[in-house]
Amino acid sequence: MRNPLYPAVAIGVGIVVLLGYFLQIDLLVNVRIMFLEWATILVGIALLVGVVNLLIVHWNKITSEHPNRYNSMALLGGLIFTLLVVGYFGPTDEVSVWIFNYIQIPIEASLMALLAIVLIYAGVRLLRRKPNLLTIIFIGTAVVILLMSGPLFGIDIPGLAELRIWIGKVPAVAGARGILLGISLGVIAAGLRILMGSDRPYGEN
Amino acid sequence: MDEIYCPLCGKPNPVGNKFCEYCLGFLDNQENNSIDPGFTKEEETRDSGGEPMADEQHPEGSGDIRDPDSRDQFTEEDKGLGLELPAADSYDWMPGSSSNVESDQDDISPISPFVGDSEGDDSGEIPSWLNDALEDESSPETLEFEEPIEVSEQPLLEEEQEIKQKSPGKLESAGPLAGLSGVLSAEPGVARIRKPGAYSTKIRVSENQQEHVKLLQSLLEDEGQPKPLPRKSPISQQHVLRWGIAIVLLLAIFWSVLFSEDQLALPVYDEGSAEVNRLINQLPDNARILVGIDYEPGLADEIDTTAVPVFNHLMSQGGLLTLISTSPNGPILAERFLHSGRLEYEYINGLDYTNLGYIPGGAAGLISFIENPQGTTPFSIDGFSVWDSESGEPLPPVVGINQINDYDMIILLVDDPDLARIWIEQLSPIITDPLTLSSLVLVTSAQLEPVVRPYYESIPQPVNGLVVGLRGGAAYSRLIGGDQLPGKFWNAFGMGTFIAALIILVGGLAYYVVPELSRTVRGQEKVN
Repeated sequence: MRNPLYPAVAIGVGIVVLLGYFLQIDLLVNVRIMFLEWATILVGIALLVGVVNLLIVHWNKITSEHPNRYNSMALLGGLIFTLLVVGYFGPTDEVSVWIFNYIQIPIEASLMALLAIVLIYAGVRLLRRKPNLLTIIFIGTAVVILLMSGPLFGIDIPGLAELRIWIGKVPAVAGARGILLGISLGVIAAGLRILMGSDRPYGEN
Repeated sequence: MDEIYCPLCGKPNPVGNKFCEYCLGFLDNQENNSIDPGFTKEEETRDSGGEPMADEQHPEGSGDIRDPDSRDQFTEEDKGLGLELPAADSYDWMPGSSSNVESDQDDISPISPFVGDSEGDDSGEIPSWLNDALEDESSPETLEFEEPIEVSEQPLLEEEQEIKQKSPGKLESAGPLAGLSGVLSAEPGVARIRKPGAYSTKIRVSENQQEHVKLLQSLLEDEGQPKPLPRKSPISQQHVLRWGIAIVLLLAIFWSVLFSEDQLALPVYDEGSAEVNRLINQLPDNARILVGIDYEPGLADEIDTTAVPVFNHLMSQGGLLTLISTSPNGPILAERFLHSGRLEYEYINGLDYTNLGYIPGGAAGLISFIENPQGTTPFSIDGFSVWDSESGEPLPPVVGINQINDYDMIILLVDDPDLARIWIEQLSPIITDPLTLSSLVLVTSAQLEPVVRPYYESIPQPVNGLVVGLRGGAAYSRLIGGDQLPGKFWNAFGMGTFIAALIILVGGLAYYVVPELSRTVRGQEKVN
């Protein structure tokens, strides 16, 4: 038999928070704020637990002579080094910012640069197979947006700037509105399912 | 006797006939074959009358014939009574008759019914074809697979020999019919024990079949053996294309950065940027600005470059900043941005700005901060109490801030659609309230424009201003009239996007046109 305590707590807290959002009653508002602060603290602790778990997993890989143990050693070395530096100097010190500026940002920026090359490569190969109307529209849109995002050497092609604005305001916004509406409906449905107890993401099916 | 009876069908035939007129059976003209029909009829009548014939003929003849005493008795009595076994030929219905019972090949050789009696008929000559056939039958080739006949070396008893002479059928040796001849064997399997035939175990296989067998065998052997994968060429067409794209793109960008001296023209006007510019111009002196830093390090250069002219304008107005983030990287990205040296003003922590750090919990943490900023983030990232310092006063950036709509402006630097949506939707009730003087401004990556523009174009507006991508930053830079966006960024960006578009167009057309042309040429060659 399922434990009725978990759904009761989840549904009760959800209803209180929801009512506190719509009804400006001091008691409800205060309780709602308290619950939200608890949630924030719990998520922060969960993040710390995640870091500790990561440390344990990779420590076990190192001690068990896992084939990828050198990667785990690098990960643990980086974690401990950063933890010591930021813990000693503080998160806003120049040393801490130096680690961020010259290690993390170049790595992630390089990945984005690679993504740009891969996307161009995919665009080139898109016409390799027999193109259809949608393929041509896709390629044409991408080329127009790319050309008109930059200065284009000061060359003014009549109608191209207007076309770019129209694409950004009409088709793109129409698609985005559809996506946003879909997300909103999905969130409402998920919230109602949790409030009714038919969906239990807290451990019970 | 002027009639002779057929031993096969029993019908009368004139004497002298060699063959029966009814069944074409061979007629034996010897005396013992010419049976008195009266006797036969009498015997048949006696049989049909139901009287046991055995009792009359063999009143005491039920002893075991294998017993020598009983055999002697049987023989003596039979002889004494004058009961001789009738000639087998005269009883065509009776088993043991030499004419209608198939004689055992173990004892006698087969005799063709067409072979005439040497004494009886001189005129009957065997046709040559029949003679040949008989010779063929008796030839050794026909007996090639016959088992050698085992002949018992034990001499037969006189009685048995006598019986055998009178009735050439096989004598039954066991059971209640023991001693009788011509009886169907009750144990045919036992009676006909023979050695199995000698069959060769070798299969006759032709050369063609042997070749097929070898082929099948080699196929099966190859199936079980791992085959090495064909080695791929270290340099494939895809590698060349990827490296080519990267090299062309990098060369174009480096050339633009190193050798392009004149800055290309900035965009003339951008509606969203102009609105942001208007809102910042309307800010009071020492306005309190809440800045949300929610982007990832990979897009830091794009967003920082876009945000530089906006923040230069803001700092020129004396705006005091409160930095907050829902991403763990946000606080240090904020510090990096403010101290990168790209801004015209140097802000001091705790005096001109305060960094409240990271709010865990995503949407829940953000709601908590919006509802109760003091309770959610009581300390700055450096560990100082923000809202109630040692002097008893809050830090300057948060003076007079009790709730979120006390800020004069909220600026959000974001690159993630979900984070942008969460910020906008949670702040929407406050921003769209007619009594609120606060405004929400977004500085985003170019990839986010389709997601945030619907909010900007809604009425009432949850987003009051929008600076999108490097183009939006360039437009803003032109609005404030300064050289806020370095030419090396704008020129390199323009060159990069142009080359990217060119590669897609030229490469795509080449990929499409070249195969089509080659197909057409091949088709024409086939036609010719």
